[in-house]
Amino acid sequence: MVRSRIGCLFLSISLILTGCWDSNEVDDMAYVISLGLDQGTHNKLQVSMLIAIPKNITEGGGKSASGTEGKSKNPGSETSEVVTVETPTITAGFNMINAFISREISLAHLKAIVFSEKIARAGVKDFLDYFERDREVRSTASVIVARGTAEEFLRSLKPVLETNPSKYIELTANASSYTSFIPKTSIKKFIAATLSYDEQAFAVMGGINKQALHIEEPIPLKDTFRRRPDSELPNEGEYLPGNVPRKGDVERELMGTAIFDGDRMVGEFNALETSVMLMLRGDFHRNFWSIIDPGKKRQFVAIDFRQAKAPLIKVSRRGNQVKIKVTLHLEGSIMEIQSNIQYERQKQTRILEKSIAGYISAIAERTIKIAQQEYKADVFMFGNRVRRTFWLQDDWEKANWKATFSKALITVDTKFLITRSGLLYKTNQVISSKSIEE
Amino acid sequence: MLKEGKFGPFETMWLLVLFCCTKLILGFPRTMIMLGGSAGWMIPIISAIPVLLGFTIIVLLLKHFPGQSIIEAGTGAAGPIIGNIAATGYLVFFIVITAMVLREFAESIKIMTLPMTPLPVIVLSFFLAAVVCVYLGLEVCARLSVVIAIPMLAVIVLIVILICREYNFNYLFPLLGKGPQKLLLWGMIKCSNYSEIIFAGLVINSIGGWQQTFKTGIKAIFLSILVSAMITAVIIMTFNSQMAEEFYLPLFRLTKEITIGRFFQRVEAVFIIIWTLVGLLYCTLGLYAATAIFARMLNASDYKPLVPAMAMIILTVAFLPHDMKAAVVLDSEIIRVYSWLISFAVPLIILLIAVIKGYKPKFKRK
Repeated sequence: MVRSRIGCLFLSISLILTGCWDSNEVDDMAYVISLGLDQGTHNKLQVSMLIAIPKNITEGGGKSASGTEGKSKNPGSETSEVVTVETPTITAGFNMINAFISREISLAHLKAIVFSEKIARAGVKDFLDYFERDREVRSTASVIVARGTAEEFLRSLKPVLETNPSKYIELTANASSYTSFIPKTSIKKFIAATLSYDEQAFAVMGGINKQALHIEEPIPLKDTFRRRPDSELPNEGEYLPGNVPRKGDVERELMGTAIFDGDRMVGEFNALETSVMLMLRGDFHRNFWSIIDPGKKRQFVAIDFRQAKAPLIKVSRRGNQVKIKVTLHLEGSIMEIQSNIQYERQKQTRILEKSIAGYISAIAERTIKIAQQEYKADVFMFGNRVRRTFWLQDDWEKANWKATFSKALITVDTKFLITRSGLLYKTNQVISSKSIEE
Repeated sequence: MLKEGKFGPFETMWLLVLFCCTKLILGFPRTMIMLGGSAGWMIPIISAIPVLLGFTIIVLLLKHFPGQSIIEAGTGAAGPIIGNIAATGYLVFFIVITAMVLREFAESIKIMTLPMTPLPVIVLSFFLAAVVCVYLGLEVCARLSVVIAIPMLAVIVLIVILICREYNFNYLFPLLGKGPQKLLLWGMIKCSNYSEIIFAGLVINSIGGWQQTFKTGIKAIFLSILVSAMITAVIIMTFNSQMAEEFYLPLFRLTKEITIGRFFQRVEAVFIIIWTLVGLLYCTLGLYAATAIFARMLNASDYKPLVPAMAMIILTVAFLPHDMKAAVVLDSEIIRVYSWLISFAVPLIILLIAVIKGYKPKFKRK
């Protein structure tokens, strides 16, 4: 009896003891959803934090929030607040922000880390340590490189469909699973890649669409990025983030991939190249893609692409000479045929499949060539396969794959199958008075 | 003779598994990865050979002295002087490992969940519970170990399953990691990681003789090594050896990666509860072992009056390292390198003395 009483006493003490020092009331905390890092002007760093205003989220985001430089806010942005400080370190930024914010800063709900392009090109290694060391930071937080400043990018958050800014950030970052225009990133994978001997890091490219390009005006060539030479019309995946021709209230855009060598950004892939990069990595989920109709000029066939199975990567190595043969296995459904050509028929289907397979192989080889010659960065995880050809870790590390990647001979072969054609079994011609005579 | 109660092979196995596997929650996987690189998971498997050999030596010694623990067997075979020196070695081993695990656990809890709580408060509340458990007796501890070990194993299996989307099997290559020589060398030396198996020799009478001890001990060793190798491999596959060797608490870091949909995230808090119980049981067993050895050295009939004194000694030793890093270095670079000398080499010497003196294996009559 005495023993059980003593046991109960200790149990109750252990339950209430933590409240003495480590109790955190949810409404005493300011939850940072996105963290932006820019180069400082007076100090090393400019830290911007997008902080959720939970009261307004629960009320549906209709109320205006105070403290936004006296500007009136758009509906939707009141659910969050952006604060910026100049600081030597990220953690020092918390102290400084707590000089004028009433609640204690917490990164327990951090969804995205945004680097400005300038800071990304200068190197981000000085700031990565914090994200690995701090217990609060989620390793699943996305990594974004913003064209312009990270602060501007955070301030441009104006979710229209969501009242919860956290959900908006999480859903847009996960668009990779159904558009493949951006890669799926996480701070854990980013840091792991910067530390590894076999792959390079990458991040999502983001930008702000200031006024939404006038759709009526022709798009200047400079506003698209690495446009295909064989088409006079741009592909949907060739636009830069911030330059997508569109109208609408949401300013921020995520498009393409920022490529890093170690901790420095060395270049970027457009959305089309990003899709191919994901196919080569085996991370590709789904994408609607407009392909030039092999049978008619200025006409497109839209395909719903999926990765049928993981890419087959064969590696042969002799000393430092590496040969890689990649076979992509893709399948797709026809979503649109503008030309009325009956691609549902088997013979026509084979023609379309061959054309698409050749097209994807060409883009893949071009993308690999850019990575090898311009960026010297293996973001395709080929090194991950090459390491299997070594027995000892020392030999693998001395082989310095990150440097020898640019000399590797890489070929891509695509196997593409059209498995479905939507709800249509065949495509009939539109009948007009002239069409029968033609 | 101490009265320690009786428990079955099931309890014995889980008790030994928990005693041997607790370090998985601390820095064990990191040490393996630092030593073996991408092949760090092989080190526990290689360690199986010396551990099995060492455990067989302990059981062979006990076979010569039926009904006696490893302490009495040492005194019986080598005389009171050498026997007491050997017992002092075991005593120091259990005091130091319990103190270091206590300190590392408290530091880990401070890092993981209670950053503002003072370290002495965590250590004391943790250790007071262990003292209460020791007062309740070995039998209670053995039954408690089954209650804790099964959820612990379930948690490990759950982690392995929930994290499987993050696996990259290529991270296990190059297959021989830092080289076969280093793997073999560290595999042999790091048998010290399983030095706690000597506990079986201490409580042999509660287990029910050397045959039972041998059978359950072998099972416990295999299970411990399997779990250790599996967790190390999973950590390498999830991160890569370069990143994984940076972590202070690799298993905790692994649980932070578990994400299923938008809702099921940050589940590490659930695992911390189980881990705290495991740490508590480790400290309980360590404190019990140290107290029981000391009681046997004094030929005392009850160990309980010695518990407060032993608890004070362990608490004092726990606070000796001036920081977390010092405790980790002492544990992983000194104790876990040389403790095989106490746990396996000392019983071998005593066994050799017993054989030279002409003691023969005896079978206790039922």
